[in-house]
Amino acid sequence: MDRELIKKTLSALPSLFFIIMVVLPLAYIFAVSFTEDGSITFEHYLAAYHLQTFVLLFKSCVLATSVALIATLIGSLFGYMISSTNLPFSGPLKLLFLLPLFVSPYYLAVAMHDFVFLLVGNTRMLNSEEAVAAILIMSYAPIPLLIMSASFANINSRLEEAGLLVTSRMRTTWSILFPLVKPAFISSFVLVFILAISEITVPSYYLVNLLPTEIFMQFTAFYNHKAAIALGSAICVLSIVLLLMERSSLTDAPFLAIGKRGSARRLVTLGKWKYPILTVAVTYLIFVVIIPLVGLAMQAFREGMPDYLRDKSMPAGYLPLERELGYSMDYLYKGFALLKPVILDSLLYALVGSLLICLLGFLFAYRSERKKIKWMDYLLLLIFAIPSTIFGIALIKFYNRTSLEFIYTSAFIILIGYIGKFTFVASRMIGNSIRQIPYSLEEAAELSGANFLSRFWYILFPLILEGFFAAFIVCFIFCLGEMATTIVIYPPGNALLPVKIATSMHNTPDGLISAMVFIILLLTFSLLGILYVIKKYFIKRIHL
Amino acid sequence: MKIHKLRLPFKILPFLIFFIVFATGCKHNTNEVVVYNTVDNVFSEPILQDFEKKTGIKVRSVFDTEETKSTGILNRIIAETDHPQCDVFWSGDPVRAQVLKRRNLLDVYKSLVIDDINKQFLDPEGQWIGFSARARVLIYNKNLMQKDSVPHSFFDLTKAQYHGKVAIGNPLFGTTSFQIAAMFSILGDEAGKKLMTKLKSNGIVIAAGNGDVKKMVATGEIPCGLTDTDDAFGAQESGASIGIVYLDQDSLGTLIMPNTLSLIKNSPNQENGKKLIDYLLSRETEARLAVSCAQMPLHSGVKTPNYVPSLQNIKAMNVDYSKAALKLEEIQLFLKKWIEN
Repeated sequence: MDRELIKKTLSALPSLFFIIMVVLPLAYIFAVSFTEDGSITFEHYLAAYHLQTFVLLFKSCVLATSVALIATLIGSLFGYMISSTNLPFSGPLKLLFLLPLFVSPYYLAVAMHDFVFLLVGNTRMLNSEEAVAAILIMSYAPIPLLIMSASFANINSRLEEAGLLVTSRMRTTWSILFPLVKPAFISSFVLVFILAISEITVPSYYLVNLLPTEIFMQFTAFYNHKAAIALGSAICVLSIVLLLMERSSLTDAPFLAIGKRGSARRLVTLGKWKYPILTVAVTYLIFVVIIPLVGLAMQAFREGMPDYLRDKSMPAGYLPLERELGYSMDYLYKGFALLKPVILDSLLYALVGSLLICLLGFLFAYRSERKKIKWMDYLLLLIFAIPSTIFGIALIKFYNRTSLEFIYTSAFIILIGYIGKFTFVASRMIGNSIRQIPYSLEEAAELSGANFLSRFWYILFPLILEGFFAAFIVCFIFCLGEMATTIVIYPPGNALLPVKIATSMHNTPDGLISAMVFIILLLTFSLLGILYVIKKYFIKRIHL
Repeated sequence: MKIHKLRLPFKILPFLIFFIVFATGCKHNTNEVVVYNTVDNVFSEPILQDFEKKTGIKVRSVFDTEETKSTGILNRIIAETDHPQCDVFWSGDPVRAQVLKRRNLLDVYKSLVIDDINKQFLDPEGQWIGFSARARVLIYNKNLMQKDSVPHSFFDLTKAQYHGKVAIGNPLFGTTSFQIAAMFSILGDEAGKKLMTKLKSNGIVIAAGNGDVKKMVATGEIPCGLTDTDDAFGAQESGASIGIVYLDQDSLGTLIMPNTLSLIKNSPNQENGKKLIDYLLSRETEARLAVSCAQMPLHSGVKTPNYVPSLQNIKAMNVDYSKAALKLEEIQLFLKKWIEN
């Protein structure tokens, strides 16, 4: 066979894998949504789309746009301050900023509900679009922060320094820095927009009717899968339009040059603004991170129900515990005992899932950025945007058959769920990093006879390591916390951490749930610490 | 650059994936039973583990969550119709079993363990069997409401003195929806709609679910609300100053909602499924559920803690669960509009 043909076939393999494993199931159920009793029909779509649906779609768009814009601005601002200025305590601040990413928006909504009640004694004000937006901004702002930090870190300081020689800091930032990070800014916006527009749990909890809650209702109240899929298609179309708009806005994006060795960015001196900016950052963190975290810790360390008060001989109507409780480790021990059987599996799946996602994300991003093969971006976005329940149902309908049962009843199905949901995230984040590397470096290596793997290992990977690691971290956190799809598809007897917590929530004391969330936070943080050390080790070796 | 050593993790990756798949694959066992369960895992898992120990049959469970209104499992069973994976469906209420029954997804199983369970709690066609029950109750915050001023009937909730003082879960979901459907099936559509309209104009507060009603009443945000007995007892156990009222004891009676067990049609482990159903229907299981989450046994003579009410002391609403479930489907659009307006 022709060498070129083999190369092309090999490079198409990941796309083929993704299409067969992830896209086909969705295509299958979308096709089914156009049928009724064996004949083709549009009735589900015609019934789903009426004035009310378009009103909901508009409301959802406004909300998602606001969330995406504000979260991206917040993330960019703090990302810049942390990665490019001499802001004190930037390391700990970055860690604290990332914390909301570790907690499902639903838990944040519950925590905010409790906090608002403590503050004003009434939570009805939370039943509003503004409250939903606030929670989603808090939850998703860390994503732009990570993306923008990685992007700022990759800017060649020579460009900035050249600008500073001839003009002011403000003008350099606006005319040089901002255009250089524009692709990352837009990527952040797109990511957050789609996360916000497909989020169900927060609007449901705050009783705000949006398009995703309408889809959710078709599943939960009416069990009408076809109507839900028909409504879900609106979000897909919207995402594609967004991607097209993004493409057109990026056609004038400048070519970015990266500089590592000998050109590490000089930190911008904040001067008299140092402490006011630090105050703003700390105030933001107090409201968004510290208060919910302290609330969580206080509940987790609350004294559990003492056994002697569970006395079965209590008289009818006796209130077992009308007194203030103290603090103890009781809930933490119990929480750990409950989570213990699933901790290892959950971490392992999240780790393998995020590695696979980043590998695939890199390959797709490379084809998109270097080979200009863009169609895969649309598919990745579609799967990312599709409501999780629809995606889960699609996987069930496709894989739950005798010939594919080995996938459906094993961890494979969970990994496929992760890959489908999050490859888009990795592809965008890694794509931003690739875009910042001059292609000439690879071309030079190619001319010298280096094959793709060598070029990847010796040139590309070291230069995109920051972005790759950021993508890995985000995907790892997403995989570890993923529940909406996992709960629909996880193999019987194979519950994972978020499922375990969510399925214990209803009647379990708040303290025990808080303790479980607290344990997961600690675990994730410890693991990320280890991964951070590994990354440092890699960077050290690369720079040797 | 000495980065050739970086290749190591990528060499390990395929083995890691293989290990995971192999490890989960190994968990499969021919002597097993798969149960899909909407009851909180903290209560149901220990019971299932005991079944495993006693019989040697491996139980593989799928649980659901309040966050998704416990519909993950139901949608999953529906999606698995062509190739069922689930043997036993354990539901916290009869509504979900009825949904599956209407879709012809349940098998008939007439257990021998149910001889003394009231027929009201059994599906006449034998497609679901009721056991340990909860009741829909009104809970009130004792610091905000005196015992003598507490409503004692569902109809009292429309009185002006309770304007804005009563909370209810989202009536589109769960046991709240079933309570309203039961009221409709007894009162008729016109009277039911009138009642709901009056409730709305009396400023009833809609919460996300029963858990939130419990929270709002326990914290004193709202003086009283409708919820299930397990929530009510859970609030009391957490130290909240909560009182419980069984509504309409001198008229319609209180809605009782049994757990239900169903055998899924064409499931892979039918025999083990039947064994599990028999085990769960036992007096022993009912006694355990009474202790862990204050559920009321349907068998007679089951020993329970004093604070768990006996069904013999409560006037139960005389409701046909199949009809109420059908009614729920009919009124869902009305309920959706009721919430939105």
